[in-house]
Amino acid sequence: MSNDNQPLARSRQCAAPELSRLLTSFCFGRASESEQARVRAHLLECDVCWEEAQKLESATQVLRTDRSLMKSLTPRDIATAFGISSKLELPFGGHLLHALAACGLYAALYAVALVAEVAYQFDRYSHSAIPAAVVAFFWIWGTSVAGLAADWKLTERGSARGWLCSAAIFLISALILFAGVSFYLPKTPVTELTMQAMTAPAAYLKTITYFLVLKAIFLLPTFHFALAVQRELQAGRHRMILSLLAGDRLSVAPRGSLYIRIWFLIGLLVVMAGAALFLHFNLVSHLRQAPYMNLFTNLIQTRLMLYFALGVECVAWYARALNEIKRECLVSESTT
Amino acid sequence: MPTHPDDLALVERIVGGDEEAAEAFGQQYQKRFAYLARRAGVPWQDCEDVGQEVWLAAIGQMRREKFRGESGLGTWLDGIAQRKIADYWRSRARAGRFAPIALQDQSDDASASEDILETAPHNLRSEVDYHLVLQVRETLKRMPPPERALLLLKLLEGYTIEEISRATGLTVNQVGGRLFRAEERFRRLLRGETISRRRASPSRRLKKGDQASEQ
Repeated sequence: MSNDNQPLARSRQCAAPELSRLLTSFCFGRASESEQARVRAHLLECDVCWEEAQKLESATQVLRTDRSLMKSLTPRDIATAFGISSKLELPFGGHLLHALAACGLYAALYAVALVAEVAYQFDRYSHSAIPAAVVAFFWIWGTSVAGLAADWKLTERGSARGWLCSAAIFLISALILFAGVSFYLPKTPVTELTMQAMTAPAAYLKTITYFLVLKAIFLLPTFHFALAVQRELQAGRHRMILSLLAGDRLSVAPRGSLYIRIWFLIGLLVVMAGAALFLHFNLVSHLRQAPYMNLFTNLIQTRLMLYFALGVECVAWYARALNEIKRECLVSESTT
Repeated sequence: MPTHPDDLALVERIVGGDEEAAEAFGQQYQKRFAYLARRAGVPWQDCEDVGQEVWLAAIGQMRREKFRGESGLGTWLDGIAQRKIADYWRSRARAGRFAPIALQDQSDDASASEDILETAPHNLRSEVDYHLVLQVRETLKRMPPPERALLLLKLLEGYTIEEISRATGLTVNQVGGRLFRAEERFRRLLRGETISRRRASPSRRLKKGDQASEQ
């Protein structure tokens, strides 16, 4: 009984880890009333959490009162803390919506184009065209998301080859899709034209080439540039990025990325829209009358709209991302 | 949480009139009662008194066999502690003296000082542990700057989550989530855990060529 007057020595492990987890909110004053009551009761029984709570709470008191701690914080820290660079760790570098939307539009292009290739004989191919289009959509959407995710992951880890990996995934997935639909599409022209028509697989290959070009200019380099810049800003290279965006001739883009100016993309999109409209009306004017001609026309118009919706979405997102980057650089530089 | 068998044995001895057990109980719990009082805003110089009152009340109730084990011992003791703290504030109110200060509002307190290590000896309201202050500074240094910034803006500058959200363009949920991660990291670093960051810092990751390009 010699130890009866000593405080009880109990296990050095908390028996209620779920309450131990609440200790952070409790000590930082963010726990609800009921959580506080549970933690208080737990602290009376658990030596491990009691010791930690004492220390953590005293530490939070220091955090609340010691103004000299602000000296450990530079204005650049604050700019980086809340600017676009802080989002690099979030899914797709904080560009999740853009990634999902752009990949969705891109995948929809493949699906619509596939149905359009057989639309002139829709009565014959409808039973297989719709399921094939659904498969094509999810295949392209999934691989595109994976491609952008690979770019994000690699760039975040400091690799300059993110865009290469991403481009390879896009290209390979398109080729695999084309190989797959080649077995399905008839080896003869389906669309009836007053001029020489291509076979369905050849026409589909030509169409997906346009999609790949759009992706290669509007989606991949812009996405990769934003990620690479976010990484550079995290490393504190605000001045370098600001001079790049301001058009300084001596500035360089982050390694492995290409800075495409927004006005160039807008101009290119306008030129492409003009060319696409010309080609579209040229195609429509050479169509032969057939029962499903109207369906075909609607589908290629939908394809055209999706094509430019993707371009506009990418440009709008890119403009917004560039503004966010500039804002962070300006805040950081103005306070340095 | 079920009561620890050692605690139940101690309670049984207290009920049986064992004074040594009551002393051991006091050593075990009085500081914790005082801590609960401090958390409830009781001035620190009164916390020990409140803690002792809770201890005496708990011993008295145990001997009257009021603790039946229907709830955990911690929950039961917390109930007594909260009642005693309420009694303390009632007696203070009758005397027309202090009003309780919520712990989380103490950041707005005028006691916030330029350098706590310089002013603490003269500041009777602070129970400053010099080693702890230095440890807090060291812990903050080891935190990523964004998390450090968030923690200090919230706790030291007193910005609310909504204000930070408005100033930064982040949503309230995003700010809340980041703040929670920052608090968690601070806690883990403070208790000496080495946090294996998923990646090295970008500046460390960049190759020599990259660094040269900046220069």
